[in-house]
Amino acid sequence: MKQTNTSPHNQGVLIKINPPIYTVWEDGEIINCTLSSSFHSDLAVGDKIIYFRHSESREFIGRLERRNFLVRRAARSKPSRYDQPQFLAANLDLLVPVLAAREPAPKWNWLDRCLVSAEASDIPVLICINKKDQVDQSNKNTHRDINEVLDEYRKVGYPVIEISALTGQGMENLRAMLTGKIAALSGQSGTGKSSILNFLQPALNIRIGSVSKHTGKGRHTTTSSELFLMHGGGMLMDTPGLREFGLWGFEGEDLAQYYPEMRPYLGTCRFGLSCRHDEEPGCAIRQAVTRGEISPYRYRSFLYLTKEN
Amino acid sequence: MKTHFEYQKNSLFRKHKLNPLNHDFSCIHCHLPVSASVLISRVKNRNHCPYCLWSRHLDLFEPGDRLSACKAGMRPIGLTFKRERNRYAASLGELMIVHQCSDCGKFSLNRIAADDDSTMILTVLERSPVLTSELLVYLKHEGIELVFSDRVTEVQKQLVGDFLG
Repeated sequence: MKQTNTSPHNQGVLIKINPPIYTVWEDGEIINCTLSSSFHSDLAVGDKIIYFRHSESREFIGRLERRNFLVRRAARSKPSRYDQPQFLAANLDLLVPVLAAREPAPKWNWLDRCLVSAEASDIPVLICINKKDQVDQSNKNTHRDINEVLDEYRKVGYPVIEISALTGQGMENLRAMLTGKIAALSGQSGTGKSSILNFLQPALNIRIGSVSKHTGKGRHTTTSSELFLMHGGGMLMDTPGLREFGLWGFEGEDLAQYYPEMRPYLGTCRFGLSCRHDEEPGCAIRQAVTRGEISPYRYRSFLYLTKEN
Repeated sequence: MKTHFEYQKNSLFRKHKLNPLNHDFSCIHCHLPVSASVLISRVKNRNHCPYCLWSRHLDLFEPGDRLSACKAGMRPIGLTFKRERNRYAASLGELMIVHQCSDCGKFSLNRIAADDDSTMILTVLERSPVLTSELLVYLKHEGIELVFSDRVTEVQKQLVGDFLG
């Protein structure tokens, strides 16, 4: 028998996915929904969805078009499995890739992947370096000086903020930058994403872990993404640690347009837009790297991603 | 749009954790195929061809960093002995090939690989005297002292050992 709807359909924002329960936020109300059997879609936290209020339960039946989304290649459960996309977040005003200043050691290639994904979806980015206190305590750092690397990103045009969720250094600046926006914290495990949220809103009391003494890596304490409402306005998303950030849906030859510093040179190579910027003679991007206008590290990361995709 | 097969093929790099920038290549000068396998060359970063000894300008700050965007061919201009003495070697340091970039003129020192053609190495040694005196002075200023034909015995000893007497 066909069930009749007792109320019109409503719209809300998906704030947590914990199948079979999908938590939706609508005008200050938090509602637990179930997924309609007729609805098959890759859902992400931040999606705007349409749901029906039944007398006993609520189930949602549709997703509104996304303004933007962050996607990566999903980790495969078996080597024989096909690669699949994994939608990490949707409808963001700001993406905040969080890296630790020292432990776990920052992976700049990871950051470049994240930035390329954000550029492809037109998501503004704020690079956040957490655990700044660790650098002050010890000069022992990774093989590249972190300040030099950050200057390279600043030169490209990405805003960078250095904070410490432990001491509170730079946290008020971060709060000001996040106020009124829907933002997502993303990063490897152990970089302090949940600690940042706890500092900004202590009442949340999110479970946090420490970095393993043996491996120097995080312990994957957060296991699912969740969007939290902030007191000052806006929403902030906590995400599980991402060990890898495989690009999804990119063609190798198109990647240069997602590197802002390479965009002015596109089409000016001898082979025009057909140039792969690798070994072609008369490549304007290679010449710019040689002149010091593009960081050789960013160029190497570009080549790495080009050959991988 | 890529097929799933293409994604699987590209995932080979990830599966075996290969650096896609350090792979087998064709020589920029003689166009012969060169294997970058460490099992064959016994060196970690294979830059030069074992047949003609031409290299490529791939590294910028340190060997193997692959940060150079020049990528032009590097001509073997001579041989030198490494300043720091190898712990297990004889009194001399390790024999190295001196390369000069044909585009930007940068010099680099490269370790001799296990599969390098010894005859070609000796040919490079014989050709060294034809270098201009300005270049030799510049090399000396850079801290690179070239080996000439008068030390051919020492070079041969490094290449094939001293069992020939």
